[in-house]
Amino acid sequence: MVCHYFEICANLFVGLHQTSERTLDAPDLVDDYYLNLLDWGSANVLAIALGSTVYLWDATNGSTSELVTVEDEDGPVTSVSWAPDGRHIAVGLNNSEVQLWDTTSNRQVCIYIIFGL
Amino acid sequence: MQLRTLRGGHRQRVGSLAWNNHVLTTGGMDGRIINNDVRIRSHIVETYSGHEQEVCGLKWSASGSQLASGGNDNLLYIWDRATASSNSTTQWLHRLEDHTSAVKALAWCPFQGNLLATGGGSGDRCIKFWNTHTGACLNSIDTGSQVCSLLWNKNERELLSSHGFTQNQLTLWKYPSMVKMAELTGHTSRVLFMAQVIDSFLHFVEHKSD
Repeated sequence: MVCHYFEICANLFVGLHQTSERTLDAPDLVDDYYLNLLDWGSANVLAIALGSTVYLWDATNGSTSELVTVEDEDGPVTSVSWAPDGRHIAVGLNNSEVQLWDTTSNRQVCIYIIFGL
Repeated sequence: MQLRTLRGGHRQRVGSLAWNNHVLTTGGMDGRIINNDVRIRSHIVETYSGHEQEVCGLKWSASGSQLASGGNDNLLYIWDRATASSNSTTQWLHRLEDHTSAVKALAWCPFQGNLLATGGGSGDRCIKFWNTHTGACLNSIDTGSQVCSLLWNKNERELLSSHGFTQNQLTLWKYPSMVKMAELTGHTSRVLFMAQVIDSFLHFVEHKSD
C-alpha cells in the first residue's frame, strides 16, 4: 500500500529549520503534478483534497473537518482555492464543474487526518 | 453549506483556480481559462484562449490587474484584466515560450508590481523572472530539479522554491542576486505546496512509502 503524508515545517524563512512540527497522514492524495490540491486560506485554515473529499484543517486549534465528499462519477477533486475572505472556497472537479462552498456552517463530522509529532 | 455549482464552462477537469475579488478564474484540462462572476446567474464573464493543453498554474497579481497562467504546453501567458471582453475571447498581453516543460509554479513579487517568478517542470528545471509589463525575461536559474512551487518572503527580498524530481529540495534564494541562502534536502518525495503564515512559514512534503 502506498502511503502519503505531509510534513508541516515552521519558520523556514527564519532559519530553514529541518525539524518538522507535525506530520499529516493523507492516504488518498492524488499524485498529479498538474493539480492544485492544497490551499491555505486567510482564516488560517488549510484545505486539502484527497480523492473525492475535501478536508479542512484549522491551524489555530488543530481541528479537522470534512467539507464535502463528491459523487464518485463527479470526482476526484482536482483543485481547491480559498476566496480572499477565508470563508468561501471553490472546489474544482474532474467532471469539469466547480462547486462553491461557505465553510462557516461546516460541521465537524469526522477526523481522517491524523497529526503526530 | 454549498452555495452553487458552476457548470458549462469547461469540458474537462478543472485543475487550477484563482480568485480576484468576486471573480473566480478557472483553468481546465481543455486549455480554457474562464472568469466567473460568482454573484451572478450567468457566471461566465470572460474567456481567455491560448493554452493548447492543461492549465496547471493560475495566479492574479496583487492589484488584480494581471493574470499569469502556466500550462502543460510549456507556455506562460500574461493576461490584462482591463482588456478582457465578455463577447469575444481575450487576446493575451504576453505569450512567453522560454520554459521547456510544464509551467506550474507562479509567484507574483510582493514588493515589485510587475515582477513574476515562474518555475518549469522536470524537463526544464528553471526559475525565471519576468517583467510582465514588457514581457522581458530578467533572469533564469537552472535549479537542477522540477519546480513544484515558488513563494516570495513577504518580509525580506527572498524567494523559496520547492522541488520534485530529482532532488526534492527546498531552496531559499536571495533576490535579485539568486545566491543560495539555504537548502534543505533529504525529502523522499517532492515538495508540492508551500504557504507563508504570519511570521512562520509552512511547507508540505508529499511522501510515499511502499
